[in-house]
Amino acid sequence: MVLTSRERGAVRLLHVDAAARAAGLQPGLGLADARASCPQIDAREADTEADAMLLAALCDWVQRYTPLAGIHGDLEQNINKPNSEPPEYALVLDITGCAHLFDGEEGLASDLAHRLERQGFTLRIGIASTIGAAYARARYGRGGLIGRGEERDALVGLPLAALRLDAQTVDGLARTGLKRIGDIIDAPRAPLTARFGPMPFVRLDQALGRAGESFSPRLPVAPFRAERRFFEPVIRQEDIRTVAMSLLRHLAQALEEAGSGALRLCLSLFRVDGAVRHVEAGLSWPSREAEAMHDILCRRLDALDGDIDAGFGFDCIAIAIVEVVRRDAESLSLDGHDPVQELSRFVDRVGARIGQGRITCLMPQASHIPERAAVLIPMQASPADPVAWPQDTRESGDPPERPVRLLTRPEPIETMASVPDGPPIRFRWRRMDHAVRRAEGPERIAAEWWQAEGPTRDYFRVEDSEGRRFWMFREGLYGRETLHPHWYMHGLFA
Amino acid sequence: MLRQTIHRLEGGGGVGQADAWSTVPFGHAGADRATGGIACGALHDVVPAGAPDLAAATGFALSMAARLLGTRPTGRRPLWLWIRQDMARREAGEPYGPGLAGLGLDPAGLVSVLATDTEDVLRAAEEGLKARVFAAVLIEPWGNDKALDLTATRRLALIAGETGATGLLLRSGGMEMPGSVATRWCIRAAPSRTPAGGHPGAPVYDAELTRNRRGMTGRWSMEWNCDDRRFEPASADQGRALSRRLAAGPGDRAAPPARQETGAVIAFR
Repeated sequence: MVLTSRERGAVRLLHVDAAARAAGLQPGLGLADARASCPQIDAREADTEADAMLLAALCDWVQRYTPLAGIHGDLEQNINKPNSEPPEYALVLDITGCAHLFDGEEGLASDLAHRLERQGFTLRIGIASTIGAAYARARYGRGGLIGRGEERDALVGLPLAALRLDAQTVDGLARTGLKRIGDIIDAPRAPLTARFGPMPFVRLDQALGRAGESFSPRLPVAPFRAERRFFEPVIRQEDIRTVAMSLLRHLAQALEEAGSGALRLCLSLFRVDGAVRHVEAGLSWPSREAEAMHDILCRRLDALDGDIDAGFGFDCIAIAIVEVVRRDAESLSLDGHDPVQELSRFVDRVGARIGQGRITCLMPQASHIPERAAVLIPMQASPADPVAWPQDTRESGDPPERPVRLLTRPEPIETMASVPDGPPIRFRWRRMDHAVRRAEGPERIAAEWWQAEGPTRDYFRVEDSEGRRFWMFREGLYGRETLHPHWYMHGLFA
Repeated sequence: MLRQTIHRLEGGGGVGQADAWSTVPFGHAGADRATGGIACGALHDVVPAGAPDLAAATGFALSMAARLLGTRPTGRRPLWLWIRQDMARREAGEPYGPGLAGLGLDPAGLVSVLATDTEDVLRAAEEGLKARVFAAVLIEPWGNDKALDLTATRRLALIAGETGATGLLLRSGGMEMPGSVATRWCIRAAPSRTPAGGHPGAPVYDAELTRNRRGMTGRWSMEWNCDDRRFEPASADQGRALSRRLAAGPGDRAAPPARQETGAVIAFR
């Protein structure tokens, strides 16, 4: 089986499996040539997006070993690469301080290999003190552990491509007779740098640990994290909740010691077959009470009910506190009647169920276009201080000038008016006829000149014979902007 | 007499815990006499008489909320909650800040929740009544959903009774149905009294009290005074009497007794 990609009109092999390789096929070969030499191949088009998603899922999964896990090489190396070269992806795990939980590096590696092979992956693991050395070992060596200080010996025999250099540089170096890392490891640097740029030696130094290298983990590292593994996978919701509660108790204690409060939580469920599900929940008021955090998390789970497929169960459950703020003891007052705290608790509890974005407050805007004069913005994005609404210009004793409800979009109405620019005497809205008894207007509202869009509107406050009060407008100035102005219903008065 | 007995009996039944909470007068003499004012720590039903009366019912519920907000101890800005269902938003529109301000409500104090279905509306309403920060909780599910049964309203009423919060159940797109509510108001739009100039005046509601746990039912024409934030009688003769009085000037004759009772002074230009 081979995977193909299209490049400048030609279909070329991108990846070949072991059987195809044994038949003499190589990546980069044209599909037609491949078929000629080996007619029974199963060629499929490569789906790079699906690859990337799988890799991301895998990267989430290895979080069971370390929170610092990233995808190596997806940016710098593969973007500029011609399609014919297979993208070289690798997962990088920083296992510093994690290995002893699995009986050392070897134990961790065998556990990882065992679990991934069971899922059907073929993998090679390299472990070393530097990313470069581990990468070289995994991709070009036979895998396994390179001890501290052994990098040099381990690398000398490997091809230069193991230094993560682009193909052009490797080719160039090969033409000058430099093929293995050993060939350049003690070579004079200046001439090579002049010809091939700094990369070969930068990569070499990084691999040998002479220069630092950083990588960015896929998910931000949580300041607090607790997890539990199971020999027997858990399936039932109640069990997940119980585990979450006990994890949160641990975290609450850690938060207390650090003097912090949690703002955002992430519950990660590791399914037996490798899928990882993250459930995030936010708090608008920093908390370090296990019960409060549990409550929000459970509401989130309730809302997702049915969306989480437990499959054959979860064998690891972790909770990370993704965002914290410093919180002093006095701001933690728990008398329960602090209005700010009560409000944020309400927002959290309801928001966890229906979504934070659905809890909104009104914000005045500097616009005289009615629908822009006030907007609903999410509660969480609202400023802490009360907003000053523009002073009511209405004189005392006058009825309200604006409706209490504004239709989400103006609805066209059929009208009959006695004079073209006067109020209607009858109108029909939502299949009901209304006879106008009283009307006031027009209140002329023109489009904002810098927007230069839309005709002028003439608004009328209208009361029908039954006493229902409406806010409607005629779009376009009669005779100047249009000869057949349309009428719209825009709001409802109390 | 009998009603009082029943009331006492009901009072022992659990929901009556609501009696521990205060009441807020409507300002309208007739309505206050019948209900004793808007009972806090209880649930009140506001039902539009027909689909086109939804705006009037909204106005009546908002006016009740404004009464409740007005009585909160000053200091922090009072908050009020409006929980709406998506359908209500599509059919009746969004709350409009300038209009709410015009009615006498503080738009800055509004917390709005938009829920997709009746269950979520009820759940949010429970949280809202429990939260002890909202002076009024306006609950607006859409239609006569079966989730909105006696059990659901009783649940809300019990929570309100415990926390002292007041729930206003605005039955948009729905009809009267049994529920565990302290009062039920059936609202129709009513022609406004015309100030000089013939344009529409202050909101007037034709309010029919169809259920009242504390006493009689009744039907009144109630005008909302946006400046003093109170309900006032709005029958035609009242309007005439008032005009006459202003035209005649002060001290000319005694004010009608009803006016003394409500203590209102309406300024006219």
